[in-house]
Amino acid sequence: MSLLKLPQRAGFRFSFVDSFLWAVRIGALVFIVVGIFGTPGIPGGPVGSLAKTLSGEGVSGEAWRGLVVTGLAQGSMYGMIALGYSMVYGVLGFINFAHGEVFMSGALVSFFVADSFGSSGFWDSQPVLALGLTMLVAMTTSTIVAVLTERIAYRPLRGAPRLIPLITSIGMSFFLQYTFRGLFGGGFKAFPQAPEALQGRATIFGVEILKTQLAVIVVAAVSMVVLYQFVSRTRMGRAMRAIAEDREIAALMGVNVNRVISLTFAVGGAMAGIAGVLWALLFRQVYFLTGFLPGIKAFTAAVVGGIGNMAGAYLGGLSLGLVESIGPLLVLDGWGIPAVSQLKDVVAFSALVLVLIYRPTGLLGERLAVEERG
Amino acid sequence: MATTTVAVSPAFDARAAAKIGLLGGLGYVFTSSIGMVEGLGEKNVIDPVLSLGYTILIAIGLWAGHRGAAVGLSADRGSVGGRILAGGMAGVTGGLLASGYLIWINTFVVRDVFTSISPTLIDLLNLQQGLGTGIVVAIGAGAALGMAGAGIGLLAPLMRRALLGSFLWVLIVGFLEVVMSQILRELDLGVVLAFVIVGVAAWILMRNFADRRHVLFGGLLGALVGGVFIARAFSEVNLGLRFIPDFAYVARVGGRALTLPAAAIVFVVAFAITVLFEGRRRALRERITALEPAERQRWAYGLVAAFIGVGVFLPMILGSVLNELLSTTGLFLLMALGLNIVIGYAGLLDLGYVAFFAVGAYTMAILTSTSVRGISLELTFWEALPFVILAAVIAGILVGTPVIGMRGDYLAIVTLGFGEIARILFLSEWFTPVTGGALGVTKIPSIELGFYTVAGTDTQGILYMVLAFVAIAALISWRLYDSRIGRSWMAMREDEQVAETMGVNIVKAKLLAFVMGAILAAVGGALFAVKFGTIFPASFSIIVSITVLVVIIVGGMGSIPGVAVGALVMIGVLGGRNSPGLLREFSEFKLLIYGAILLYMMLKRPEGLLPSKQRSRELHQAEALQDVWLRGEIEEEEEA
Repeated sequence: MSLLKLPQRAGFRFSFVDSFLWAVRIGALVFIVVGIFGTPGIPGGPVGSLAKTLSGEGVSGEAWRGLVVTGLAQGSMYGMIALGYSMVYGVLGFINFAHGEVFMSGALVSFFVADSFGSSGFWDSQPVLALGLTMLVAMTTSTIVAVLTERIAYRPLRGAPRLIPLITSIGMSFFLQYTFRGLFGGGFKAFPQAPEALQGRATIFGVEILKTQLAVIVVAAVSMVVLYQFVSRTRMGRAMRAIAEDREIAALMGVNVNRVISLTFAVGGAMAGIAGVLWALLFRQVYFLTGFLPGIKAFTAAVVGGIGNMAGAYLGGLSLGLVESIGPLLVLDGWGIPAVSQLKDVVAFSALVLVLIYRPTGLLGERLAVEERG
Repeated sequence: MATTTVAVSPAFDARAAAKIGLLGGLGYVFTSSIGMVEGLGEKNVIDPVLSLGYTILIAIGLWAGHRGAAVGLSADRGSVGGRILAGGMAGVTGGLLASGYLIWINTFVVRDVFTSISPTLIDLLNLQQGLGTGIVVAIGAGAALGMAGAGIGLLAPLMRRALLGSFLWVLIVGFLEVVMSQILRELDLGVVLAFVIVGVAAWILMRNFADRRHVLFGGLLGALVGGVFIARAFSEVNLGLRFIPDFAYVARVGGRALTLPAAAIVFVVAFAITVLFEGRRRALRERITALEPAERQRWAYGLVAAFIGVGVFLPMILGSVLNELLSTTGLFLLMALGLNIVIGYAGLLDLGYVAFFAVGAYTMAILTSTSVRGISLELTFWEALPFVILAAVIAGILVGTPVIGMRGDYLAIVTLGFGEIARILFLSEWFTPVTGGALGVTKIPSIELGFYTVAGTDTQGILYMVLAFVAIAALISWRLYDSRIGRSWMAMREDEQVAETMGVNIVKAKLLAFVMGAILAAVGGALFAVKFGTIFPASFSIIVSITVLVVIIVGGMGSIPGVAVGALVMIGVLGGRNSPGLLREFSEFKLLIYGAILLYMMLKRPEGLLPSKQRSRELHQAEALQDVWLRGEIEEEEEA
């Protein structure tokens, strides 16, 4: 008889939550479409900024292309950080909030190396070697921080209720931020200008872009390919995927779970370390809170791309970078909202909410954002 | 591995002891390198002899000795000498690590990178002498402290407690300098008389009318009103206790510190009290455990009545500094009670909780302020309050509905996103006509009570207001705990599917949790707006959400007394955002300590300081089940 009652309760769920969500979906769609295209037939209605460009007023086409490249560069870094979230989520099933600090640790420590290279001239005379060494230091630092974090804070909590490691990682995040502030001081550190070889602009496919941005995009893409090969081809990579699939069965099959989890943190840390150097090169300043916002954004990117999926993390990062770079001008400006560039974080977080509403699995997702049944 | 060695033979496990020593040494390196030792070096605990920085290093040494002895030799086998030796061994190991560090910082100039390793720190660690002295002291003091730490472990429990407790009291009295001075200087006869009257009345009423609650509470109310009149009548008669703070504290660079004789007196008195009253304490505890549940309930009412009595008179004697501190604590407590409903009762990890606080503050500010362009409603506090609550309900539903289907960690990140969205929007140029952008909203008026006006600067009045709202929030939380919706929340927290199967309406339960939490936070925000008279977007950063989270985790999720204790410990002692607590010296390291406390609590005591019984049972359920299983009481039939 309970079977007969169920549809009624399900009916209530539809009547409120589903209708609310549908209202959000439709409202957001209308908001975005009108923001982009304006209301051509109706005089006095919003005019999209893209339409303004096409009719020769407003922002130039050059500026749009610049925004796209900036978004891609930003997104590449998000993607690299997002990998750490995604892989850890894959094997342990929780959000490692402290991953943003892993990224920050690499950026901050690499500053000291880059700074000494910069003042000794090595930076400009041997740019590739100098950058390589800086990245090596950043990778090492981030890897150590990530692995130690796992060892000290997360390993004792395997199998604890889900919220406990999450809260632990929030604590770890603050602990790391303020430890680094205590160690290296709280001020901004001005990263040296990129080596001369990387200054100025290059023209690719008829588009002029900053060489640093190009370098960021290329380095990120190469690291992604290397990592992808590592995870899909090597024995350790296979062990990692096995653990993500089912930890207990993997252990029964002879996979050393602790070692592989450490390795996962190490690989995620190394990627975050490279991203840290790229970030510092592009924005030229780092401090102990540098990791906070990129951390949250990267997690957002991981969710957008589909958490647990490596290609998804990269794709999610690129999409998020593009959305937050172009979105404010493309959508919000059309509505006549002033100073839209202030709102790029709002756009990014709204994108997160919308992705979770429209497509809870993310773009390439394997796992569900909603509670798994069973 | 280490434990097996100990269990098999009574031999001295040097490796384990050395490992603890190394941990201690790392503690020395860490606290020195992040600037804690130097930062707290100026603050003297006992005037010429002991600074706070050294106190921390000494505590590390004692801990290493104590743990080293406990790990190096099993408790029942080790001889006295052996344990002292093990402690000393741990201490020396730590000292060696510390000396290595000292050699490093004395030889190289590392300040360009490690900004906290300053010449002052090096001098402090070398005791103002050269490196040689530093090394000798590090190893020697390490050994001595290690042995002392091991020695403390050998004392009878009563002596150990008395010793450590008395030293803690010295520290507390040293820290409470500002508070103690102000209270003692200004203490008047009226408040003391009022306390006596209410106390005697409460005692008589409890004894005779404990089972007739209306007489009990009516009588108490009468006594309170009488007490207030007495307190007012004799408020001009100063008790003349200012000689106590004048004797006990001296002014020094890093703040006033306890003098040596005063410290000695505090130590001796605390020690004597602990030892002499041990019997009584034990008897009292036995009596409490022997009480019937009904009788215990009655005493719990008495305790609540006592708290109300204290709440009525305390703001009169505390002075402005402590009143200010307590109102900040109260505001955080109000928010924490709200978040406790969302996280503690319903298990929804909301990291954007500050958004509701901001909504409350801005609604109150915009509706009442005279400075907002375009909108000049200029309502009073009481007229605006319903709108604040309405705004909170709407915000709760707006945030709650999209996240209903999401599970814990997604919920956390999405709510965090909402919190940031709210802050950026309040800051943005888009909203500036209403919210004033970065400049915020100013000129928020006082609260009119009809017979009295509570201005934001009136610390005593604000504290009364905050306490009143906290009392209401506590009452609501308490009544919700055992209510139908409260039980649905807890069922949902434990297992959503099972709860749903049992007939809990998940959608309704989740939305109600969000809405209740939002209302409490918004009311807190409204009070915040009145208290400061001005609000800026910068006051509503993510740190506030995290602070409130720390409060409920330290106190104990789901438990109202726990949340209160958490707020007192975290906000009152360590300080909230932008407001120093009692330990103002720690302000700079507040967030570091927050993080460390979160880590420690999650790893060692996830149920908090004063847990709700049910919650801690759930958290330790796995262990309990294991025990049962080990005893062989569960058969294999249990399905996974």
